[in-house]
Amino acid sequence: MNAACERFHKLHELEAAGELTARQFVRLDRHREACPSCLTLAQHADPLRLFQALAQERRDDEFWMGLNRSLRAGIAEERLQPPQGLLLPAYRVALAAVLVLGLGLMAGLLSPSLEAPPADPPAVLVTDVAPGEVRLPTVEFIQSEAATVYEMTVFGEDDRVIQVVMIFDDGIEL
Amino acid sequence: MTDAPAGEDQALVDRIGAGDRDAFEKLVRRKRDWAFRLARRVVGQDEDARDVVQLAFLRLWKKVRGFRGGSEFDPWFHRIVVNLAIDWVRRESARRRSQADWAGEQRRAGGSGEQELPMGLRLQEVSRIFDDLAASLPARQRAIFALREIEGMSTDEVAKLMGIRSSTVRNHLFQARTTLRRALQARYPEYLPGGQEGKP
Repeated sequence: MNAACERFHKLHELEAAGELTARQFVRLDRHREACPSCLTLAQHADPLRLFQALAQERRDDEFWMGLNRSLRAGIAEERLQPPQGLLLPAYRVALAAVLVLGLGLMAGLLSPSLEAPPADPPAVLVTDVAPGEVRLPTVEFIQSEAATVYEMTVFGEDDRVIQVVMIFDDGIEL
Repeated sequence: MTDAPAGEDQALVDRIGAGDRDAFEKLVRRKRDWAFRLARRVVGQDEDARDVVQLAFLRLWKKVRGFRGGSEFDPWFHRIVVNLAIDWVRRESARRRSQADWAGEQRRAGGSGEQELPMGLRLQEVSRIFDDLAASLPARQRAIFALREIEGMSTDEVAKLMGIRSSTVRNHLFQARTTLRRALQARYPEYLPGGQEGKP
C-alpha cells in the first residue's frame, strides 16, 4: 500500500458500510484494478467474495453425455439449410428488394417508351416469421385482376426470417 | 476463464474451418465448462444453461469460417455465449415465467459439486444462494458480475467482450453488487463478515 492508497481509505470504509455512491465506486474500482494490495484488502472484507468459489464449478461427463449427439444432429440439420455465406442480413435484403421495385416503378412512370400506366407505390408489409414455418428462401409472384402481389422470404445471419409482401394496384391499406 | 493455450485453440479452429468434426468435439470438451459456468450464472438453471451452451457451439460451427485467424478465440467465443445467454433470459422470462416463479425454481433446483468451501458451505449451496439473490438482477448485470467477480476478468476485458464502455461495466457492476449485497444481508446475514460462520 502506498501514499496514494490512503486517499481511498475513506471509500473503503464507506463501501464496508454499504454507503458508497456509484461515482465513488467507479473511482475506487479503478484504483483497485491497478493496486493489488488494495484489491486484496477489499476482497478480504467483501461479503460477495463467497461467490468467487463458483469459478470452480464443473459438471461431470454424465451431464454432458447427450451434448455431442445433439451437436451432430444440429450440424446435420444445418447442412440442409442454404450455405450461410450466400445470405445477407434479412433487413438489408428486404430494403434492397423494396428499393429495386421502387426504382423499377419510377422508371416505368418516367420513361415515355414504356406504355405501362402510372401506378401507385406498392403497399409493403414486412413481418418476422417464426423459424420452422418456412424452410427455403422463396420469391413468389401472383397476378390477378384485382392486384399484383410479390412475396419474398429472406433469411438473415441472426436466424431471423422475414417475409416481405408488396401489393401493387389494389385498394388495400396495410 | 478457459485455460488452454491460444495456439492450440487456433489449430483446432483451423481444422474446424475445414470441416473436421473431431477437432470440433475436442474444442467442445475444452470450452464447455467455462461456457456452462457463465451461461449458468446468467440463465439460472442447469438445463437451460446446457441448451445455451449447445446453441453457442452450433453458432461456433456455423461462424468459425468467418473467424479471423490472429485474433483471439476466447473473447470471440465468450461473446457468443454471453449474448445467447442474455437473449435466452429475455426470451424465456417474457414467455413463460414471472421473476418470482423463476426465483422459486432456483430454490428447488439442485446443482452438482460436493466440494467443501470456507464457511462450511458446499459449492452447490453457494450456487443456490447466488441463484436466489441474483434472480432480481437483469441478465446483463448477472453476466457482468459473473465475468468480473467470478471469472476474474478485468473491466476492460468485460467491456470488450460485451461491446460496451468500461464505465458502463463499472456502473452495472455497482448496481449488481449493491443489489446482491443488500439481498445477502436481508436473507443470509450469517454469510456477512462478522456473521455466524456457516449454516447450522
